[in-house]
Amino acid sequence: MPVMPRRKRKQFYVRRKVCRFCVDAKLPIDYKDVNTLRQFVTERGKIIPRRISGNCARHQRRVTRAIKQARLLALISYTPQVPIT
Amino acid sequence: MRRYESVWVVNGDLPDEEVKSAIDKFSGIISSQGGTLVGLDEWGRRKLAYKIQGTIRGYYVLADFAGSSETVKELERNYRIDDRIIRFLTTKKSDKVNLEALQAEIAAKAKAAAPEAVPEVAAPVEAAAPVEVSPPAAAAVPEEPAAPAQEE
Repeated sequence: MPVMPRRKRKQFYVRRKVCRFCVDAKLPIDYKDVNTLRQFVTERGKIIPRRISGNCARHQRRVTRAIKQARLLALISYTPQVPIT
Repeated sequence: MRRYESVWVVNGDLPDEEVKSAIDKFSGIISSQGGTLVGLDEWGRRKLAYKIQGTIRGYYVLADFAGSSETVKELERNYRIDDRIIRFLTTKKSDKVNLEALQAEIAAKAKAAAPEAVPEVAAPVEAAAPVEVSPPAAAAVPEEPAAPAQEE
């Protein structure tokens, strides 16, 4: 049996994500800035992981903290607005 | 002295006077406990992201102040006692406070509230001047008709 040519691996072009807070140092991470924080939360209210958001460790920690503070003040919900049945 | 920022949420179902008195009470506590209030920002009534104590409305107030840990301790103790307060959060903004800079900031804030009067005074003067120089010229381009007049 002839040796099958090794199937070419599917090519993934991983676009290097850059932490947007590192790119623009002026961007503040603040629990009061609900619109920015919303970008780091899924529709279900979960915090988007670093792997997906592309944030660096340092800024991800700050984002996480800000989200939790905003949740406490009821600026962002913990759970989806309309309960999913 | 440290610089703090404190947000408190007053139950939004309460009448305005109650809300007002709750705001005055806590800004008063900051001042009476050795704190210096730099700014008080009322966000007003907002819809809460979720129900708290049966209400979906909250009146948000943000206080920016300088004080000691004792100030914060006393402030938070009072938050817990008061039933009108449904949520609060105090965060430290900086460890050191330059008192002179703080006074300057307070003065700047006071000024920022005033400038509404300044442009109002300045605007009528500017509007009146081009009309006197060239009455037929359109008000939208007051500078252009003025320039050739000087050349002549």
